[in-house]
Amino acid sequence: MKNYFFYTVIILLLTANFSNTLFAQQKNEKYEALNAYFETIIKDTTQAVYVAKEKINSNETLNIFGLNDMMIIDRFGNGKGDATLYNKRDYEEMKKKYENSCIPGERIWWCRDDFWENNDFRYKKVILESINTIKKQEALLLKYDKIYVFSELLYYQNKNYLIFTVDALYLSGSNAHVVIMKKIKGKWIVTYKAQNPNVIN
Amino acid sequence: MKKTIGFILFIALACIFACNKDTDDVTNNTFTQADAEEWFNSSFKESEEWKQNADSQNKTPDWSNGTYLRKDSLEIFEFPLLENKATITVPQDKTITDSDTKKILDATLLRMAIIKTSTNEIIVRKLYYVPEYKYLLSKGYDISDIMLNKTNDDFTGLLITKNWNDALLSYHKVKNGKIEEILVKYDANKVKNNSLNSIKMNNYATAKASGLGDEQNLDDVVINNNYHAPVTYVYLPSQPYYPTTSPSYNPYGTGGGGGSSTGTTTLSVSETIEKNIDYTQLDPCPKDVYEKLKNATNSDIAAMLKKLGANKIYNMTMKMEPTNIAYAEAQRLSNYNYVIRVDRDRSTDGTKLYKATALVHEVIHAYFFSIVDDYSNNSNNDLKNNFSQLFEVYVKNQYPASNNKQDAQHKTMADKYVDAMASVLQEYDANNTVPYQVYKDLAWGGLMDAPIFNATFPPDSAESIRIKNRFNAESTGHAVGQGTPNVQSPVGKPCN
Repeated sequence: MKNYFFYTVIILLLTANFSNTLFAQQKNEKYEALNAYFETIIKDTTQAVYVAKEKINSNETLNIFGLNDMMIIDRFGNGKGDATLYNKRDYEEMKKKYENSCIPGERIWWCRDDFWENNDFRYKKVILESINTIKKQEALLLKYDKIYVFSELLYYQNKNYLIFTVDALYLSGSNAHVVIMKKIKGKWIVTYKAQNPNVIN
Repeated sequence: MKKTIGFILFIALACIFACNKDTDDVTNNTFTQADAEEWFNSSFKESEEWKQNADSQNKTPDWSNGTYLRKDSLEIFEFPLLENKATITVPQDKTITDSDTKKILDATLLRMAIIKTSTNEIIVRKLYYVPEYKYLLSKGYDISDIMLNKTNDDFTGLLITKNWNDALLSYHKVKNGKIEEILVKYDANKVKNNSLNSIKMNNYATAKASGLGDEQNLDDVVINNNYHAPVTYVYLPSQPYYPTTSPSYNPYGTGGGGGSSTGTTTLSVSETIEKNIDYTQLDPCPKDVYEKLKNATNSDIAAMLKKLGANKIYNMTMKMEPTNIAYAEAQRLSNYNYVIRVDRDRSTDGTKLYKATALVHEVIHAYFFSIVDDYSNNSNNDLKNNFSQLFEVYVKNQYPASNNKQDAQHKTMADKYVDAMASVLQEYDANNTVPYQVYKDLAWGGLMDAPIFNATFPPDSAESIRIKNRFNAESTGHAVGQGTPNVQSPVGKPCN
């Protein structure tokens, strides 16, 4: 009986440890991709970059991706219309896994219970600011001109791709689109972009 | 095997002929048959020109037999047109019999031309191809394939151009597909002693003497052919025409001779767009603002859209609804059908001038959407989900070869956009103490994210800061940049 108890505890500990390790590995991989992207958009490394503390609701990512308005991106960054990445079954699987994964904020496009931390970014001049009210957003945009907002990263097609929404907010508008990255030769590369071409601000 | 190859070859040839039927340069045109048809059925049927003609409903284009060509800066579609009745004046040819004259009239083609001009205006013309008898004979009495200016076209005869309301615009004498001379309306008082007079009299005013005068029994010249319902043509020698010594080679009446240019112009399209904008669901302040923009005397919404080149009618509704980030945003509901959302929780202290700026900006958004809708089958090679990207579509529409987003063409179009918008804002604000530059700065504020903005106003330059501060001052209703040389205070009035 004692042996059974002993083995059960060992198995539970190993499983928990394995899950934690797996989670940490996945988190590392996701943020490695996020940082790889971040470094493609921030060229001036001397400047502070303002990033929203709140993550974009992943429902936004799912919605935009589901529109299947995508471009394949070549190594020079040029885009070309492409409809081959979207697969309904894979999309439904991703949607089932990630839909409604956070509580919406004052407006449904941002989360009020899922936040970025400074440690998530390799770039040390990231300044995280909360944008959880419209008044705060307006005040911050007046102060900083531009604020980046990112969603959590989602796996697509059996972890072949990582997908997230990035938005650059200005007082005059924003520029939200979905970035799709793939690990090629050990590096995360932007391979596709997706958009909602029907809403413009 | 041979049979299979033969079959494939047959299908391929059939496709080639079907796709290129009666067309020249179709592949590279930007004005499609679908555009022409849609313009006719939506814009033109809403126009004054259509409404003024009580017989408009009885004129039916045959859309299945359209022909296209590009002539210099004009893009022309011709469609056979079915009319209940038509009256044209043709010269009498004494060398042929009455029976042959009837054959000419039987073979006469009536086409509706939908023409897109270099300034993106679209107009309608009616063209009557009246063949010379010898030419008709050489064609076996069938000239249904002809089209002026088409490669290898050898039409010989008279081309009569009318506008939709049957006003005569020009007569052109055509030989072997080339215009030989234009025949303009004869004014007996002015050309009494002109030698051209005699040409006119000899060629065109002798019908009565021949027995085919203006009292001609219309039943004698009833036409039946593939495209016409019974159509009557009558000789009216009392409206003589004489050849001019400086012929115009534009038989379409799009300007530059051949008669006055009439038809649906860009203005009427833009006026229709303005009329179609439903702003009744706005809150009182933005509603008042929009109403004033719309009712401006000189630079109203319609005038601005005309300046920008709007040539396709679309529908737009403005309503109070939450937006993603800005005070206002545009959403495309379906092709040529858009909604503008205005967020009552944002820019609550913004001035009326800011709200005017935002609404005008969104109206332009919707216009840019309509350009995207025009090319909805194009492959997606760039994101089109913010204003600067839509601006790119606008530039590419005018300058397809322009690939550098900071080049002179982009600057030209940015200036066009800014001036069109600034004029509207200036008239709206009606404040003589405010320099025009303020309104231009507000217009530039909408392009801050476009590469041409940074190319024109380098980051951190005084101009760049001034524009941002102006935009922010009006959007928040308080001074921005205080304590710096670029401080900007709002010039607009608050809503309440």
